[in-house]
Formats: sequence, C-alpha cells, structure tokens
Amino acid sequence: MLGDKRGQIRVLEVFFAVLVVFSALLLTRPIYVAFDDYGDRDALYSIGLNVLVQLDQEGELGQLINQRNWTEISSKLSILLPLGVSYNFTVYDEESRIINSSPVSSGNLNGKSVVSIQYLIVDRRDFSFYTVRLQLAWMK
Amino acid sequence: MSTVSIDTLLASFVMVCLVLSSMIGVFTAVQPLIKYQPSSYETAMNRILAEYILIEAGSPANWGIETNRTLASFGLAEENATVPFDLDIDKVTRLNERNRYNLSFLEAFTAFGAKDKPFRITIKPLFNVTVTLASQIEKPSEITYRFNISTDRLKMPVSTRLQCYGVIGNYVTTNSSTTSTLGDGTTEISLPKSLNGTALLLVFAEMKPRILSYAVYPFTHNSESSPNQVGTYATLSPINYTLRVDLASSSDRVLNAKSFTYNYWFNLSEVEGTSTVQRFLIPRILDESPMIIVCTGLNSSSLEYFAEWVSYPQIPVDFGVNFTGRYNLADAFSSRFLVTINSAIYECEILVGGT
Repeated sequence: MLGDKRGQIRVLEVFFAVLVVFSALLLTRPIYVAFDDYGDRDALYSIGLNVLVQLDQEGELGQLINQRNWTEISSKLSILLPLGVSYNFTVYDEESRIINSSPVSSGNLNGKSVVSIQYLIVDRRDFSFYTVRLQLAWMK
Repeated sequence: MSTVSIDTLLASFVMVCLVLSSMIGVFTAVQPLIKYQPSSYETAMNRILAEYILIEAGSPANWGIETNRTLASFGLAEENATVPFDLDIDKVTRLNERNRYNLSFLEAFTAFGAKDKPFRITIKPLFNVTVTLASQIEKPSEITYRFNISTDRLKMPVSTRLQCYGVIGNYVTTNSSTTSTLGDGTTEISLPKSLNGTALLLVFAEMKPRILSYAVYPFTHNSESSPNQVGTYATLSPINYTLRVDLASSSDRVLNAKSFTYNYWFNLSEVEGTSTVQRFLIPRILDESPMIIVCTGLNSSSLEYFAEWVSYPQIPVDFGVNFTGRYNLADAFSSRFLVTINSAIYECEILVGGT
C-alpha cells in the first residue's frame, strides 16, 4: 500500500475535503447569530422612535433642548423607556456639533448590540433646528 | 485484494462518512436560520399590524361616538390626528366591557380584516398607585382618615406628586401630597359626621407632566356597613362627553355627579332622566389628566350615601383574545407602545397572534 501513491493521494483528498466542509460550517455560524439579533434590534428601533415621538409632542423636547435641561430629558427617557434598556442621548446642532454638555445616558452600551435612532427636532419658539440621536441597547 | 483496492475502499468509506456528517452538520447549522426567515417576516408583519391599529382611525372615522353604526374598519386613532399614536378617548372607552356601548371582540376582529390574526389590546397608566387605609381619628364633628399611598412602576418605586379628593354625597375635600423616591407617601382627609355611607378617596399621581396614574379607594364613613361594590346601584357609561347612568333600582337615584382631574373638579349637570336612566354632560377639560367621574346618591332603605365611579377614558382596558391562558397554544407577538389619550401618556401593549 505504501508503494502506491494513488491511494495516499485519495486519503489526502478526503482530509482536505473534511477541512473545507467543516470550515464552511464554522463560517455559517456568524450569519445565524446576525439573523438572530435582527428581531431584537427591530423591536428596539420601534420602541425608541415611539418614545421620541411622544417626547416631541407639543414641542416639549425642542423646548427642553433649547433650555439645555438635560436632567429633565434624562428623567423622562428613563420613565418612558421600558426597564432593561440602556440609552445614550446626543443632540447635534445645525453644524453637527454636539451640544449636550453632559452625557445623557443610563447604563453601559459597551459590548452590546446598539441601535441608533436619528430624529429631527425644531424648537417652535425660535425655530432652532436640532438632530437627536438616541442609542439603545438591551441590558443582557 | 490489491492494496489499491483497499486504499480506494477506505477513501470511499471516509468520503461517504464525510458526506453524511456534513449533511447532518449543515442541516443543524442552517435549520434555525431557515426557521427564522419566515418568523422574521411574521414578526415584522405583526408589528406593522399593531401599529396600524394605533395609527388608523378606522371606518367610520368617528366610530367612537357613532355607537349605532356598523364598524367597517378597526383603528383606535383620533380622527384627523396630527401626531402618531394619538388615540380617541371614546374608541378606547368602547373597548371596556363595563361600558354599555362596548364593542365586542367579534365586531373588532371582523372589522380588522385579518382573519388569521387575532389580537389583544391592553392600555394602562405607566405606573401603579396603591392606597391603603392606615388609621382614623374621630373628632366631635368629623372623622380624619389617614391613608398610605405607594407608587411603583413594575415593582420599582417612583416619586410622584399627589392630588387627593375625598368624596361623600355632595361633599368634596381636597389635599395635596407627594410620594418619596421610595414610592411611599401619606395623605389625610376629614369628612363631616353629619354624612354617612360609602366615601371615596380619589388619588391622582403625577410623575411628570402628562405622565399620570390614579387610584380610587372606597371606604365606609360613619357607618357599620361595608362600602358598596362598583355597579351595585348603577352602571356608569361615559361616551361622547356624556355620562349615561343605568340605575339598578328606580328608587336609588343619582343625586350628585362630579368629574375630577389632577387640577380641577366640576359638578355635572343632568340633561335627561327617566326612571332607570339618567344622563349628565361631562365638561371638556383641557387638563392633561385622566378624568374620574363620581356619582353619589342616597340608598332609599338605609338612607346612607352610595358612591359609584368610572374613569374617562375607561381604562385600564384589556380587550381581545387571551394568548397566555393555560389552554392557549397560538404563538403571539407582543409590541409595546406609548400612546396619548387627551394629552396624557399611557402604555399600550398589543399582542398579535396566529398559527
């Protein structure tokens, strides 16, 4: 058997095929994880947008931003968001500069699947224009 | 047998094992993905259906007050609403089974138009208020009651401002208080000894403007009997800013009707009265608060005051199919929304099921 090279080649082919198939299996795992995560992110986006819409009713959010009342915004977000959701709230002006002097956040977003929601706000008193970014993640 | 044949046989055997094991492996890895794809589509569709209920006004668009017309399309949004998730007070009220004009689930389900999508709608305040009677002190002309009040959101204490009303007969007393960061607070009210029967303590708790909850605590004042249960003397059905009172007995009539919000209270004027039905007009108060309507009258046999109450919008609401019962096997998808009814914010959960 040792003298016949054709048999050895076939065995090598088999082991090479084993290597290819199992590496392909390993590659499919991240795709599955990504799909599994999609539902959570979609729900989180829906929750975040709903909260921003409620906060913005009657121009309340625009007024709070204009007053730079970050404590009140943080307090309202904590009430309106479901328990178990971490958030980070950032406000940008017309030139995309961050205007909240202190972080408006709760919990830690590091190492989590974070969903970002962009929302446009206009303060009805002086027509100041802001872009709000709300980042959300489940506390897991 | 030659060595070449043995090598070929061995290689073929390993190859067959490899193909089989790879088939099993690929199936195991891919099966959840294949299963997830239709479920992902179904999840997205269920969320869109839930949003549809809260964004669409239905048909006729004012079906909340058009109680005699057949519902063609189901939706809870206010007619001509300018912001999303702004719900109509009467449409929400008609979901409550205690209201005389309530909508049956079959009507709503048929009008919804998705035959394979039963649903359940729950609307409630964002936090809970619990009241207990702590003590009572009798004085020569009045009795002072002390109540413990706790406020919590999913068992987590919340700090609130309280507005309390004590009601018996035509007598109303008010008091303000707060609950601490531990969610605990107290309030005291005094009622005159010249009155007796069922009294009510109404508690409105405000966390932030537009975020309110309430509790109603019935108790006996200056009497041996226990407070009357809701619905004993009359059934109250608010709709289209009119209160319909269906009396249990023609001898026990409602003498006083009042509406309360966080900041205001008003007497209601009677517009129609027969032996079994009375109607009162409800003022359109712009207060960002739920409204509690209290009706009081005298029991013709005991000559003690009775008290009936209802909230407007008539919430909490729990409408639709039960998906979480012991014998329910259908899958269901739950969506949580914040909704506005008369400028106050409530929590709404919609379960859409199927399969």
